[in-house]
Amino acid sequence: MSFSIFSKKVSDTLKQPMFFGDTVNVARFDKQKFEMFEKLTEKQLSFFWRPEEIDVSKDKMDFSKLLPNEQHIFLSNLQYQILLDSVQGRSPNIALLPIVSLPELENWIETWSFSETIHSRSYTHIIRAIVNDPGVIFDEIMQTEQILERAESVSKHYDELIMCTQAYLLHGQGKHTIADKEVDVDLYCLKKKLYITLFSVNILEAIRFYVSFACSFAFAERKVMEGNAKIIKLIARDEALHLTSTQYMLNIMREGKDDPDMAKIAMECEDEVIEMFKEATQQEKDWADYLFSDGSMIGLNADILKQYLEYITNVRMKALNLKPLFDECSNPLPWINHWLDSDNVQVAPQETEITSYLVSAIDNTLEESDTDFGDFKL
Amino acid sequence: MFRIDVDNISGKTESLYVYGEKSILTELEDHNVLINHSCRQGHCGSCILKLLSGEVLHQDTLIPLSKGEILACSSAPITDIKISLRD
Repeated sequence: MSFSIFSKKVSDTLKQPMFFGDTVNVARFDKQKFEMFEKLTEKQLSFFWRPEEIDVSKDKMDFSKLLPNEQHIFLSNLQYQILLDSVQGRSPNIALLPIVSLPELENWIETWSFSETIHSRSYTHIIRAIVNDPGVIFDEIMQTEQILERAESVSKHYDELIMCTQAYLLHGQGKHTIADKEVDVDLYCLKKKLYITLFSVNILEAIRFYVSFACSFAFAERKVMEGNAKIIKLIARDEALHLTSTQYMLNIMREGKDDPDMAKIAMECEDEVIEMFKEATQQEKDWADYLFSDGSMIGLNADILKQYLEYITNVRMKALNLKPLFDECSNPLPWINHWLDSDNVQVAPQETEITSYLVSAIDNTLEESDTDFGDFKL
Repeated sequence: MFRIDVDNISGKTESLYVYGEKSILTELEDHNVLINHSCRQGHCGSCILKLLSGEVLHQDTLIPLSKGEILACSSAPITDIKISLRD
């Protein structure tokens, strides 16, 4: 058995599972098993944007006025976002395309991955604007222990799936020796790895990213780094689509509407999946401590960010029909919804240039004339 | 101003008074009536509610909705309404 980029086998794609059926040959969209993926593709295409459309020139001035601990929060958060999109810009293609069996899903995976590359390009656009030597910021990513730890946790499931899939596509099922290691390749185990990987991707896009969005938007709530926030708002709009796709795949797998093996796997893996959410939230809490290690910023500190993390984890788990990990609570950062809700996504320049357009913004400037506490005594 | 009658959502049956400028999801959250949701953009269908009476302005969504169903994240009231969870 070996992978063919255009298999000659004629198969009815309406009867194929999403993954590990026959490989896709003709890219046809006249009949579709799951129309949702085409809708996602169309929506993603309608969202197309280029980083250069957003003016980030004011951010340079804002950045230079930030306190050193705030610069650390801003840059580390951005470096983390760069890492996450570096992973997502390539891995859906590498991990999922060789095993996909539906043309509409194949098309979605390619469109999804492509949109992540726009995000990666936008980080360079931001960094070029705010620092004199962008190279230093990028080089630091691979030298920061806390970021490398994150890299390990967001990529390990992808790596495992990719290794086993490659062995399966080259040699088929059975025991194979790869790099002096014996690997047992079994289709059911591979499906399990895929299921776990999709959860890991959902955690990445629906939880880890949103914690970083909270930091980006917290600056803009103070009317600083607004060009950056405008870009992150567009990224968040894309990520809402992406998290929908993994949520949709996982839910139809669990409900047995696709591959019957997957419904069984979903039951078998429930504890493992809950453990993954636990691990990820702990990692993100550790990251929050690192971000705020030199001090908090107005409107956000490690404790509030951790509360938001627990809140958003519950939201995502409920959407995947899992029992939430944490006590039910309302959103500790309600202002974030102004940046995330669909009706607020606009690309009008006045939205950042004229601050009165911002809703719920905190005005932290205090002029001499604003003070009338001259004769106040404690 | 419009009235949103909440019919047994998260154990709450109460009336909320709103201006109709925010989504029903945001209004519910503002009044501490918590419902399932996820993408907040009308894609995922996690926040489907039943519209028992009244009318809403509904944005386009990726989710096919049955008669009487609305997405809380993508709709706002334009009359007094009554809503409940989907069966």
